[in-house]
Amino acid sequence: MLSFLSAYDHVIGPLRLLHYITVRSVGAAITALLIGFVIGPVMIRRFRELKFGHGYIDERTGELGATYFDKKHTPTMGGLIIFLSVFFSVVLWAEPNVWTVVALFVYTALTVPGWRDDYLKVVHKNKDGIKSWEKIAWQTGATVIALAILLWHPQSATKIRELWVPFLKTAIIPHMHWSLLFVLIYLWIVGFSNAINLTDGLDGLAVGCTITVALVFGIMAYTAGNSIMAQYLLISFVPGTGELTVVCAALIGACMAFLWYNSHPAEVFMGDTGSLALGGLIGVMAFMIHQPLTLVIVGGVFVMEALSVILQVGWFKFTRRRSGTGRRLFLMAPIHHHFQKKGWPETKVVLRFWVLSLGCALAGLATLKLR
Amino acid sequence: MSAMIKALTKQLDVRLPFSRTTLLVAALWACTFAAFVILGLRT
Repeated sequence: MLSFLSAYDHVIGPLRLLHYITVRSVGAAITALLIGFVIGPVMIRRFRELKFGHGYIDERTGELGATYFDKKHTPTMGGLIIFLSVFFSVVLWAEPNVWTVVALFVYTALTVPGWRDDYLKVVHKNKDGIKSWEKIAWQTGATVIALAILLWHPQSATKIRELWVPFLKTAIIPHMHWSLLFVLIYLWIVGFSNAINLTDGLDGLAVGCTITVALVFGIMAYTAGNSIMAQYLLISFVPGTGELTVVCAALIGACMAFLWYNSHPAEVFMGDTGSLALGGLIGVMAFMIHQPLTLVIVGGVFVMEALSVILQVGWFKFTRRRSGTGRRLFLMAPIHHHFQKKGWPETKVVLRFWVLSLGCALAGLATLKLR
Repeated sequence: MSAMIKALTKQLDVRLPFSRTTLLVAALWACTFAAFVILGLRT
C-alpha cells in the first residue's frame, strides 16, 4: 500500500520511486527477508517450548529418519514464518488490485487447513491430521471464492477466461466456460499443494525449489503486466498482474529467510502450514499470469515428486492384481527417498534436486521467447 | 471492556497456546487484510 505515497512525489521527490514495480519488488523481498530473520528464531523457540515437534515415528521415513538424523523433535509449522513474512511484506509494498487480493486470499485460505493439520498432528498427536474431506472442503472453498472474485471483477472478468499454452502466440481458448476454468484452477491448486507437500520431505528441498519457481514467475508476472514486453514476447498482456511480481519477490525473501533455518540439519520444518499454501499460491498465480502449463515445466521437480508417488502406487496395485504380488518401481516414494535408499546423503539429494529445479526454471523461461 | 478482554485472553491462554501478543498480531493481520481487500476490489 506504500505505492499510494507516490501520489505525493511533488512534496517529497523520492516518493516517485514507489510507483515502480521493480523498486517495490526489491523492497518486498528485503522486508520479507528481514521479517523472516526477526520472527524466525522467536517462533522456533516458541515452537520448541510448546513441543511442536512431530514426536511420533513417521511411518513413511521411519527407517531413513533413524539412519540419517533424528528429526522427530524438530518443530514443524514453520510455514507460519513464510506466511507472516509474505503477508506483511505484500500488504506493505504491493498495490492492492484484484490479482494481489486473490493471491493473498488463496494463500491465507490454504494456510488455515495446513496449520490445523499440523496442530492436530503435533499437539493432539493425531498422526492423520485433519480429515481428508475437511482439506478438500477448504481447497474447494478457496477455489470457488477466488474464481467468483476473478469472474466478478471488471479488471479480471474477461482476462481470466483465456487459456494460453507455451509456444503459441494466441490463446487456445479465448473465452473458457467458468466450469472448465473452475476444474482447471482447482486441479492446479490441489495438484501443486499436494506436490509441494510430497516434496517437503528433506531439509531445504521444497523451499529451495519454491524459490526458483517464484523467481521465474516473478519475471513472467512482470512481462505479463507490461504491455510493451508482452507485445514484444508475443505473450498475453494482463493489466495489473505486474503487481504479482511484488508477491513473488516477497515469497523469495520469505523462503530465503526460512531456508536459513530449514537448511540441514533443519531447526524447523514448514509442515503442511507451508506446503499446502505455497502450492495453492503458485497454482493460482499460474492462471492469473496465463502461464498454467509453464508451471508444469518450471515446477518440474514438484511434478516429478508427485508423479513418482502416483506411478509407485499405480504400479504396485497393477502388478498385485495381475500376479498377486505387488512390485515397486522405486525403492521408496516420493523419489527423493529412493535416492536416499540408494545411499546418497540427504544434502546431496537436496542440492541435486535444486540443480534440477534451476534447469526446469531456465527451460520455463525459454518458453517466453519460443513462440 | 478491558476486564472482558483480559478474561477472554486468559481463557484462550488456557485452552490454546496463544499469547496476547499472538492475538494482537492476528487482529492487526485481520485489519490490514480487510483494508487491502477493500482497496483492491474497488471497481
